[in-house]
Amino acid sequence: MIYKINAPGVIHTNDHFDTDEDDFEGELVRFRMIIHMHEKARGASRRSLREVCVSYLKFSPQADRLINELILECTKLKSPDRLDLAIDILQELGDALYDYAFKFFQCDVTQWNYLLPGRTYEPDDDYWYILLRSVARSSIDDSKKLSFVWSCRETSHRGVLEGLVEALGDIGSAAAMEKLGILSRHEDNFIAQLAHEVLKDQ
Amino acid sequence: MTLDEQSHLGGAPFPLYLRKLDKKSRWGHPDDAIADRVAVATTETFPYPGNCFSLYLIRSMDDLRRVVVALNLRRNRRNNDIDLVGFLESEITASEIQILQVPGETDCAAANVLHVDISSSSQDSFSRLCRLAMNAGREAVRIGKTSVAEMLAEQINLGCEAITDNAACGCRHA
Repeated sequence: MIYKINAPGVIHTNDHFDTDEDDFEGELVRFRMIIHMHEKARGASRRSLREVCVSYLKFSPQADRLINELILECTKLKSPDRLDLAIDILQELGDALYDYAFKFFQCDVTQWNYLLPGRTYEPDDDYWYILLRSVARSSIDDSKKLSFVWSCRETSHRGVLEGLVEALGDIGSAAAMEKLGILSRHEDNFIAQLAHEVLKDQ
Repeated sequence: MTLDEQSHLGGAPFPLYLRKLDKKSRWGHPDDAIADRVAVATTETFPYPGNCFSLYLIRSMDDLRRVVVALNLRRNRRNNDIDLVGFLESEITASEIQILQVPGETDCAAANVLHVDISSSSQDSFSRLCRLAMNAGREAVRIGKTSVAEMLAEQINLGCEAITDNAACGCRHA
């Protein structure tokens, strides 16, 4: 039995595999190839490949699965640009990104340790870093963005909190600065120092 | 840690070999256990099985400005914050890592000549490098979007070829 459970709300078994699924596999291969070409490209061709990725994600009927694929593929790259590559594409998706991120949050947050302290589940820091910064830099309404990113504040995971701090800086509104002020007193000195730096940078 | 205008970055003087971090936490915090910091920094900053990594040799604030702007030109905004960590040449050689002069691949020729690859067949060499820098008190530096915007404005002012298509860019002859 094959299970695919990474994209929110997308849990497939091979019972459901059919021609559409085969078509999707083809689309996936093409999409991965474009991601890798995008990583290697420079100048105008990088910009143009970024636009191709954005179009794929805007118009594919399987956009959620492709968003998940983009994030997973970028986090596996060896380049120090790996997180930025995904953020630069996803931030162009607006409401479609928000819907994806919200569904992902609903699936993931139920496993976080503050809800179930006995469990050892570790959120994927890089995945969250990409999602939080992409949402924060997108054209979504500021209050909606703020409400989404702030809902991650209860985690004790530094990587997720780092994404939250940077996302608040990306939003840059007065309300976001207020929240950064709170995080600048965080018990993890790394997070407190980062929040302080981001605040100073506004 | 903010950008120190006195030719220091993250607690070390120029010249420094700078490595871009994908996010600042890769370098950890001085409060963290050194063994954990070294393990994460090595795995994430010099990921195995790669054995050749991209750095820029920075001798001055001018060099830093060129490299930061050039790296940001790959993004869809030009004033993104950027996280960097610096290594001394003595730390690299003491870790038995080779420095190879390899031109960079940004749109800025002046930044590209500052580019090197560092190489070792052993992952332990990169662990040693991270440990040496951390023991010396080196911190990762976040150059914020305000500083990046100032650097960008200065490069535009200089007629940077990567931004303005100016073939007579002053950086090329600096």
